[in-house]
Amino acid sequence: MDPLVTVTMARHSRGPHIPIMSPRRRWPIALVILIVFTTVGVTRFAHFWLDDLARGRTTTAGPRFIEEMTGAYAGALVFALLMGLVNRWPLERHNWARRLGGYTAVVIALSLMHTSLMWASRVLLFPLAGLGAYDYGLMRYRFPMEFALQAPNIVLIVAGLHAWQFYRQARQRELRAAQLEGELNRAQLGSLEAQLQPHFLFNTLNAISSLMYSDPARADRMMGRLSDLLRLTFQRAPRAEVPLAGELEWLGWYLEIMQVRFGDRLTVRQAIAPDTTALAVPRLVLQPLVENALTHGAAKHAGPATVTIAARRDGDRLRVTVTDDGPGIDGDPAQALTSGVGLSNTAARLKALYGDAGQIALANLPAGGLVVTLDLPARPA
Amino acid sequence: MTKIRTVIVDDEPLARDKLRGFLVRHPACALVGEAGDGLAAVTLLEELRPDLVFLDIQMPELDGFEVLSALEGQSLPYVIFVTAFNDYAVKAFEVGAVDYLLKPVAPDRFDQALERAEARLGQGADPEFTRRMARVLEQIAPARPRVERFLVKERGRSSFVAVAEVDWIEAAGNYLKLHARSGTHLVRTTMKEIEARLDPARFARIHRTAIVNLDRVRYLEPSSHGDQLVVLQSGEKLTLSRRFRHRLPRTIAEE
Repeated sequence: MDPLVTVTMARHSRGPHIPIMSPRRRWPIALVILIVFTTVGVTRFAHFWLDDLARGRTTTAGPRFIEEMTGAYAGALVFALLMGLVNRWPLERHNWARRLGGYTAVVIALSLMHTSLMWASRVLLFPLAGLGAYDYGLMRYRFPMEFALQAPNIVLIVAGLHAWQFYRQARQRELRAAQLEGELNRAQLGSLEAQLQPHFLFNTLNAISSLMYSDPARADRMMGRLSDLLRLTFQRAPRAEVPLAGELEWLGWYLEIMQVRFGDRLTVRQAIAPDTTALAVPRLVLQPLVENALTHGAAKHAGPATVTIAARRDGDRLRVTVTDDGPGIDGDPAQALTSGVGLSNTAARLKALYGDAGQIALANLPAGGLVVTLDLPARPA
Repeated sequence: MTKIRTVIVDDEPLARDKLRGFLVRHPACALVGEAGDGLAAVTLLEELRPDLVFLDIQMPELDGFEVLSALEGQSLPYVIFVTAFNDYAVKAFEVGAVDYLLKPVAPDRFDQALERAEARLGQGADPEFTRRMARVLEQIAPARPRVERFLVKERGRSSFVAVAEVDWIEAAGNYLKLHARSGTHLVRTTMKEIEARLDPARFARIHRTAIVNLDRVRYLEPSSHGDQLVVLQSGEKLTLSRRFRHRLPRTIAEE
């Protein structure tokens, strides 16, 4: 698999923790819970009171109302606690067995709490409402009696909250996958842009079409090189890093084309230390640097131009330089990285791949010319 | 019948080979010269004064547009632009070019362009060419590369003046006057075009008729009419008009 993908996927494979509610939405959700449980309380009150009326009991409105509303609001509190619980300690594939015991205890504890709350609030509210002392009956029967009703409800709520959380996580994963794909495509495009410069493509085709009249064999060879380069750019899911030797091979194809196009004007020198060829470099990293050396060095002035590509190992660092003998950069070379001579893209790729461990530096040479240095971690590809 | 005296300008030898091969098939044309870069092209075109030029747009030293701006009005040949990518090609056409060819150049398109040239040739010089050229150059200036040096011509000799050498630039009719360490030089271009192609971090327009090199500014001083004067290291004083005051970097403007 493509290393770039692996790195990014590893960070997100379990998915970031997705809470049932974001802190920003806490108050709206509390309001919704309040409204829902108020509605439950009122409808239950209506149900029981109408039942009483149907049976000819006309004095039960007050006690029924207090009973149902205390039951509903205590339920709301239980629901809110369950939300927090599922949010904090969700049951997941890898931990459900361990957490099942805890959840069983929670069901019992919340049921006891619910019943106790109803009891306490009614004992308090009945006298205040002028209904006299409240009698909940024998508590040793009350608790199990309420438990029989509450336990299935609590289990259903826990299941429902989990379903909601899974739904949100799945949606988030989809979104993240779409974003990742976008990032990948952009990274891919970024590395190809330099290769598929329309000027490069059409000037090369023009040179080939010219050779067809004078030197068909050479035209054929150049067509082969151009095809090799184009094939690179069409590669699907390319590796982010390749051995320096591979990068130099591709670069050779590009330089062969440029040498045919520029004729005698262009000289290319290479000084590659043998212990560097197996080391990893970002894919297609050299071509934009050489192209920059050509367009800002050789192509800017008439007359001969030399581009030198060198690589050496310094302990755990790999240093690759591309040097031209053009006029160098007018002004501060470091600024050229941000203001863009086509190298800002390279800087961005290094940052994405290596963080601060990969650097690109530009410097004018005292005798004229520009040297671009890649400073990378020396590690096998 | 006199032949159409033609010049080919392109920096790539194979591209020139190709055009030459096409051209020799036309008995009405005579290839009188070839140039491989913009500077050589200016010298060649002024010396030969050909009827027609196939002009590459992207070239070392001077690009195709710069070659045309450097030519004196009366020595302008008919132009067929040849370009790899149609980035400015349409604009080039507006300049009044006879035609433009996209690379790789196909033989039939080449013949067609040549036919157009032959038809135009009978009509004589185009008096509007220079003016139209200036307008198009102003339009495409922001998309073109930054100016790094100016081509100046004195007593028939061409040379370059690096932008860093220039203290300030003064508008002078159809020309700009470069005030440089080596003296003053005339360049044919417009304030609007050159302003768009200079690095705004290094040059600022301070007046309808002046652009200043910020490195050369010593200080600002108030002047009699509530305007300000920009005092250069050379001692020269330039008027800073209120309209352009905001274009000066803060560091200078607040001193």
